Amino acid sequence: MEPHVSMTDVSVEIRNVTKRHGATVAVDRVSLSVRKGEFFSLLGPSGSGKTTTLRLLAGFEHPDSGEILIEGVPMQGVPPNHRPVNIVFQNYALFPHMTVKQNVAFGLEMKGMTAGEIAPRVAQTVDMVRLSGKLERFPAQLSGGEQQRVALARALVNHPAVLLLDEPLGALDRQLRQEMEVELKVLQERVGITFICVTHDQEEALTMSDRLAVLNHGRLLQVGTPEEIYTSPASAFVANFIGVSNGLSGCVQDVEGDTARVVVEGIGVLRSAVVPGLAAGSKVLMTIRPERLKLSRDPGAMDPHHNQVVVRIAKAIYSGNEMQYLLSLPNNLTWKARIPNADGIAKRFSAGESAYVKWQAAEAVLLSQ
Amino acid sequence: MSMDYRRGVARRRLPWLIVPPAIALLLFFVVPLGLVLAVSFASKGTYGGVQWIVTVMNYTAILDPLYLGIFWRSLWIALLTTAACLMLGFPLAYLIARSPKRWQAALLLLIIIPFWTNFLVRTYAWMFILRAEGLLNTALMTMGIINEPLNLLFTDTAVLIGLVYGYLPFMVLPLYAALERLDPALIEAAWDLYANPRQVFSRVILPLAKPGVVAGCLLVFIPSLGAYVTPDLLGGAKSMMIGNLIQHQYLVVRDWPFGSALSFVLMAGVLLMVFYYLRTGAAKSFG
Repeated sequence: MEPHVSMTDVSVEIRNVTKRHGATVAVDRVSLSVRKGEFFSLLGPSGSGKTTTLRLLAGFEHPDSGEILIEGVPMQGVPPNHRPVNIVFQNYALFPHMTVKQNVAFGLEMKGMTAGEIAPRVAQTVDMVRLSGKLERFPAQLSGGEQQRVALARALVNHPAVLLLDEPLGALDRQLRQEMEVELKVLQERVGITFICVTHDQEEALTMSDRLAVLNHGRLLQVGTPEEIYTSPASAFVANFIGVSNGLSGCVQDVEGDTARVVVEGIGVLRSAVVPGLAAGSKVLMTIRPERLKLSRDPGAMDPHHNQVVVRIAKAIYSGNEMQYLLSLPNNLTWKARIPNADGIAKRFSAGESAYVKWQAAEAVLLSQ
Repeated sequence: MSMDYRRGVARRRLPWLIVPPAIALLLFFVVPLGLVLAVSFASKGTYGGVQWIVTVMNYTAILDPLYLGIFWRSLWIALLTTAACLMLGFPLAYLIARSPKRWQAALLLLIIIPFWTNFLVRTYAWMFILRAEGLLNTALMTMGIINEPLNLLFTDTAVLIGLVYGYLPFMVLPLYAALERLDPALIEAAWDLYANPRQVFSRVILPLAKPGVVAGCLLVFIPSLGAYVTPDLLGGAKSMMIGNLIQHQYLVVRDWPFGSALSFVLMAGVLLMVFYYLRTGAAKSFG
C-alpha cells in the first residue's frame, strides 16, 4: 500500500512492536516508518497506544517484542539520554527552578558543551520561538503559550534527529491552539527535523501532518496523508474518528462499472462509488461526511450519480459560518448535516420541516463489514 | 463590595483570635525564658539555690576547655546525626513518594508507628540490642562474623545510633512532602535532555527537594544538639552532651545560674547556626 521508501529516507522505523502494560496490550504489533523531515502524527483516542508508542521512541519504555530503529540504528538497550530524540511533554515539564535560558541550555550543558558554544545556540533558538525578551524569566512567570515555546526551544536547541511531541497543544485554549497548529508546521518546515506528534484531536492532526497514523486499542488502523485518510477511511472507526461521519448499513445489490447499488433497509436502493473486493451480497457500511450533504425543499431529477432521501429536520443549530442540522431518516437513524450559511437565509430550514437530503454517489465511502 | 466587607470583618476579628495563643506564649514561653535569662546572670547560693548578685562569671566559666569540649562534641554528634539521617532518609522518602499512591499511606504509617511507643522505652530497647551480650553482638557472634563482642553501649557510636533512630522520621516526613510534589515528567525531561542518572539527581531532584532537605535538616539538627535522654542512657561518662551537662548543673551540682547560662549559650548558638544555614548554606549549596 505504501510506496517504496529507500532506507536513507527513513528517520524512524518501528518493526512489529508490541508492548504490554500488565494484562492490557498497549501497543499491538505496530509497524510504521516515518520519513526524514516529515511531520507525522499518531492519532487516536485515549488508550489507543499513541502515547506508549511515543514513550517507546523516547526510550522511557521498552518493547516486549519487535524493534525500533532511529536513523537506521537499533534502539534496543539505548537509554533516553543516548537517543538522538527530544520530547516536548504534554504539560511541558519545564524545570521550575531554572530560568528560560537555563531550561533551554540544559541539554547542551549535559552534552558537555562549553558556555561559549551554548550561548549563541540558545540565543538563536529562543529567538526562533520569539521569546528573546523572556530569557531571565522563570516558567511560572510565563503564559501557557510561552511555556509551550520554551518547551519547544529546549528540545529543538539540541538539533535532534527526531522531535517527539506529546499532545503539544492540548493545554492551550482554542484560539491559541489554532495559531500554534500553523506555527508548529511552519517551524517544522524551517528546521527540517522529523516531528512525531501524538494527538487525540483529529483537526490538529489533519492541519499539521504530512502523514498520520490512526490507532485504536493498540492497533494501527491506517496510515496516510490527511487527505487520503479523510476521503478514504479504511474502517468505520477511522471514518468516525476523523470527523463525524454519517453511516448506513446495507447489502450490495449489484456492481455496475464504478457504481455499486446498495440496499438499505427502510430507505431503499442507494448508489455509491465501488471499492475493490465488493461483490453482490457483501455487507457494507456506507459513510458520508456531514459537509457533503445538500438539503433541498424540492426533489431533484433522479440521476444515477446522486442519492436522495426524504428526511425530517430534527434540530437546526446556528453556528456562525454554517448551520448544523440533525436529520431524522425514514429508518429512524439520525444524521448530521453541515450547510454553509453563505447560501442565504431563505435556504435555511427549521426543526420539524421535511427536506430532501442529497449527495453524490462518488462522495460516499463503502466499508465492508 | 461584599468581598471587601468580608475582608474587613476578618481583619477586625483577627486581633481577638490571636489573644489566647499570645497569652499562652507570654506565660509559658517568654516569662520562663526571662527567668532563665535573669538567673544566668545571678550567683550560686552556698547550698544551691540562687543569690541575686549580678555577675557574668557563669558565661566566662563556659570558656573552660572542659565545657567547650562538650559543646564541640555535641555539635559534631548533631552534625553526624543530621548527615546520617539525610543519607538514610532521602532514598527512603524517595521510595515512598514514588511508590503507588495506595501504598504511600501505609508506608508513611510504618515511619510513624514507633512514635506510638514512649521514646524512653525505645531507647531502653536499644540498650538491650547494643550491650555486650545483647541482640546485635549475639547475632554477629553466632554468625561467626566477630569472635568477641563489640564494645558499643556507652560510646559515641551508641549515642549516634540512638539519635539517628529517634530523629529519622523528622527527616523522612518533610523530604517525602517535597518529593511527592515532584512531577515525574521533570525527571524524564532531564533524562531525555542527555542527563545521566547522577545529573538527574543533582540538577533536578535535589534542587526541587531543597525545601524538604532544609526543613528535615533543621528538624533533626536542633533536637540532636540539645539531646538529653539518648546520650544519658546510651552514652558513657565520656559521651556527655550539652543536654546532659545542663541537667547535671540543675539537678546534681545544683548550680542553677551556670545551667541557665549554658542553656542560653546553646539557644543563641542554635539560633545563629540556623540563621547562617538559611541565609547562605541552604541557599547556595543547591543554587
